[in-house]
Amino acid sequence: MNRQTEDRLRAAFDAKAEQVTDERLARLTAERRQLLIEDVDGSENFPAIPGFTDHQPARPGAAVTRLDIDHPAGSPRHARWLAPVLAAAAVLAVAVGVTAISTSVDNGKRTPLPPASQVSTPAPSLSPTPSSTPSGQPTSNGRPTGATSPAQAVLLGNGKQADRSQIPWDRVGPGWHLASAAPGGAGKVAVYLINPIGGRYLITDQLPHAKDSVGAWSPDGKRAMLSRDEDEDRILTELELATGRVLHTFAIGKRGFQGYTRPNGQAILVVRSADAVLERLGADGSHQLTYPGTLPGFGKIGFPSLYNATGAELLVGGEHGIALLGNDGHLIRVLPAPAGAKTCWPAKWWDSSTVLETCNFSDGVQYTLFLQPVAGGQPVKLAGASTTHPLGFANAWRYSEGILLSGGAGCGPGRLEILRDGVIRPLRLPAGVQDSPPVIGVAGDVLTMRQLGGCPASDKESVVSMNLVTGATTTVFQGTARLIPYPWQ
Amino acid sequence: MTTVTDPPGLDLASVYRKHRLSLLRMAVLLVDDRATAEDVVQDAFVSFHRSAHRLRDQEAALGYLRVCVTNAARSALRRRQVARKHLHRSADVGDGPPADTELMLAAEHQEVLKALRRLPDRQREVLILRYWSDLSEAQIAEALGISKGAVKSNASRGMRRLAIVLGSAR
Repeated sequence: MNRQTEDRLRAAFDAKAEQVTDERLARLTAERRQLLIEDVDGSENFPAIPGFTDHQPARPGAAVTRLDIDHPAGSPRHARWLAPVLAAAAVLAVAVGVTAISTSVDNGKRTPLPPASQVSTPAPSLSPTPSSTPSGQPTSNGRPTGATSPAQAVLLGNGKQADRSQIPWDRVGPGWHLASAAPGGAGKVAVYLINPIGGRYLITDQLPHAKDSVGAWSPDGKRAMLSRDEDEDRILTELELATGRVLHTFAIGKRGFQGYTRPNGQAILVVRSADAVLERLGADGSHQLTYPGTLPGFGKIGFPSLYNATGAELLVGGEHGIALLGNDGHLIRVLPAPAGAKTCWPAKWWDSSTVLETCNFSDGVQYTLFLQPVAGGQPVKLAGASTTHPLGFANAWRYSEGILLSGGAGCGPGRLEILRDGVIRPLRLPAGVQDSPPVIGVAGDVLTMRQLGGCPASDKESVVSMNLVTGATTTVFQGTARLIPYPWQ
Repeated sequence: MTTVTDPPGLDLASVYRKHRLSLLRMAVLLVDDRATAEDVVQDAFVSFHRSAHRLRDQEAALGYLRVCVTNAARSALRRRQVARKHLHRSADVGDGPPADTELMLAAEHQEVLKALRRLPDRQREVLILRYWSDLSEAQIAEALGISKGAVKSNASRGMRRLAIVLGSAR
């Protein structure tokens, strides 16, 4: 047997396996999980136990039952064992969620992996060195593993502030925001996590530069990339949210910051200002890849770009529609623009196979929204310009009762509209809420929007959330701030 | 009412805590995709929980879980191949690993893992169980449902093929 090949194989396995950690487990309890429970014994995947004598044979044609762990209602047949299974699964999920990663034990036949710092790759640390919270509790990955169960913590109330050590990480999810604000006085920027009811957790207020503002929240929820301009340079600073620690600071020259890659945000995308070419950099600023500026059969690539959930593909815009690329830049397919469009770009994933596409049909502003299947085929028009909406609509969000449409915003003439049953009507905003507000995001039925306090914006800015169904509003942040919604789409 | 209880000497939570990460790592090496690997391992533990009262001890539990994970990984890969064949009409979709995770490996490791992906499924599975999970021939044979002789020959052929692809000298 080739000893050298064996050694290389083991080393590659170790390096790959080290990327797999239990960090996500604490987040899994905040996300919906569906348990697939096979309604049959002895399927091909789940073998008979050797020597077991009362094993029941498979029932041909038995149905597979998909159950939602949050709603454990099942058929009466499942009732007898379902509750203990789900209860046990929930217990196991919580049990693992509070277990420190470094103490995970494998099957006993491998020695513990070396820490990331000893691996010969420029990998940013996924498992920061343990640090202490102000309370003195030792932490792992910067998150407290002490006696207090985050899952039981009550959300911090509206207008209240707490330290980052109080962040209930297993509850951070849709409806939360990352924010940067200048608190005034000291001239320093403060970075916060803000919960859905407007309670905020201070990540840090010790950043040295007053002009830093949040640019992106990493898809794994753990880091923030801040951005500022110095002379003609753009400076990016990556912050670890659990500890407030600056991970990297680097200059990207005359480039625009496009955001993190997916699925975990181990790299970033930037656009060269000189020639509008997309580049991928490591989260420490190291160059990884330059994408082609033009593609045969498609032409010049436009922006923004949009990764799919796995990070294996990304969508880019252009004059001839949108294009699906592999993560190495090769063209997979062109999705041609609707007739008459001047330029199009991908706005967001509508579902796993459909992208919301925005196309401009004039040399000025006249936006139309389409739903474009990524596998190809004709796009379906969602909403566009009309006599009552001369600018059309540039973005849309689904909620339980319809689709929220956004046209020009801020101090422009566009308003927020609701598309329901094929009819577009203005969104009724409560008294005191500015119309034509810039939308920060929609999570479930809750819209979060900026209130500018006048045109142009005044120091009476605020961020307000509103339930689109009930109309109830909450002031999420009072003052001038930049907010990024939780990266769940 | 049927009550699921821990069999004597078998603490389910302990099995989960002790083995989930290593099984997840094994699944990632088998299916090359973290999200699918998590589903595979999750399904294995759900089935394990249903069947746990039939198992005699922790050793049998781990063997059972490995079989479940390996079988489920193979099914996932088969479904992926079918999906690619029927759903993607143009040139290869980006079926490589996600943009950021694989790129964080050194070029050396990327080369090895790329070569591993080129092996036939059975040879790749045997090498992962042998050189990552450190299983014996008998354990690999049980996990894959093949004979010990087949384990030996797949391991030998797989390594020989890897060595050729990687250009390693004997």
